Amino acid sequence: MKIAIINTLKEESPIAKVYDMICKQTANLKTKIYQSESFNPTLIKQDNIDYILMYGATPQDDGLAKAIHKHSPIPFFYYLLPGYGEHEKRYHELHNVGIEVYFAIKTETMKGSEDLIDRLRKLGEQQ
Amino acid sequence: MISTLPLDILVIEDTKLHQDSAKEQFQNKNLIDQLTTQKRPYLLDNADNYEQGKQKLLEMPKDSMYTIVLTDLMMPKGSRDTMSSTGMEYIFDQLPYGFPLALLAAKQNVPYIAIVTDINHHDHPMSACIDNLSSAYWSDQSAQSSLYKINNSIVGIFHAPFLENKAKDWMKVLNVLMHNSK
Repeated sequence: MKIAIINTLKEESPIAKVYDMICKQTANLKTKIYQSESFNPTLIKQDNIDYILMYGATPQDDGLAKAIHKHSPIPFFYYLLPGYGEHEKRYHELHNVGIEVYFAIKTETMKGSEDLIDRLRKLGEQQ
Repeated sequence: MISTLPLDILVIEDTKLHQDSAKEQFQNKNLIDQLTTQKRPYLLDNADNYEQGKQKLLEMPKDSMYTIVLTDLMMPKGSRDTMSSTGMEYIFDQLPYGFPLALLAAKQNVPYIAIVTDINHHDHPMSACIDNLSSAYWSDQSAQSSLYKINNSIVGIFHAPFLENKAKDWMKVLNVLMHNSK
């Protein structure tokens, strides 16, 4: 199974690299990192992508995630960074359109990093 | 009517079948020669989405502007520039950008412009909207009455005529535009 990791920062971003490593080693998934500027939903079919993992800190990143998910039937995991404030509102807006959202820090109302890693690990077990 | 203008054509189209069809049809020099007295090589340019089409129309110098712009009706935006979080949610949607592109081409004084959709009017409300501006399907008889004059440009709005392979018959559209009575 293949996961697309959508990088919203510059290419050397450590976050994308860390998730790339987690997906490969913990979940045994094939990975490909895409820059968010050049990603579009037609690539999902073209590159045989089964899952999408994206992280974002800005409202524009959130909007891009919703736009991709609207045109894609595959599971979408979003790692929400608290860059722009109102993260709980952002979390629920993304969650309400069917995106699996994980906040950087786990709270009573939001899933956190460890939940995302556990979700990825379970994907690996299903293979 | 045979034009004295060079036939520099911009095709704005996001479907590969129709893009390829435009290239194939407009490479037929004999057909083009029937429409213009100009003997210099003509330009065939293409754009895949709204932003590319807009840029080409805005960046082309006035003295070498396209003679003909043929645009699809529905296409994606093709860029994320200036979009807010809410705007970003629409960037991959097929929206009726053909209308603003046609108006922009008229503003840029492109002499011949057509909006050509391959969507059946039962399958999309925007396609159905064209029925009253043109006709419910392509017809050679009603094509002339689908022409408008906007800012000195001849603008046609059409449900596409098709070739046997279901590609748009761009040449048929071009013929109607160039042989207009406006």
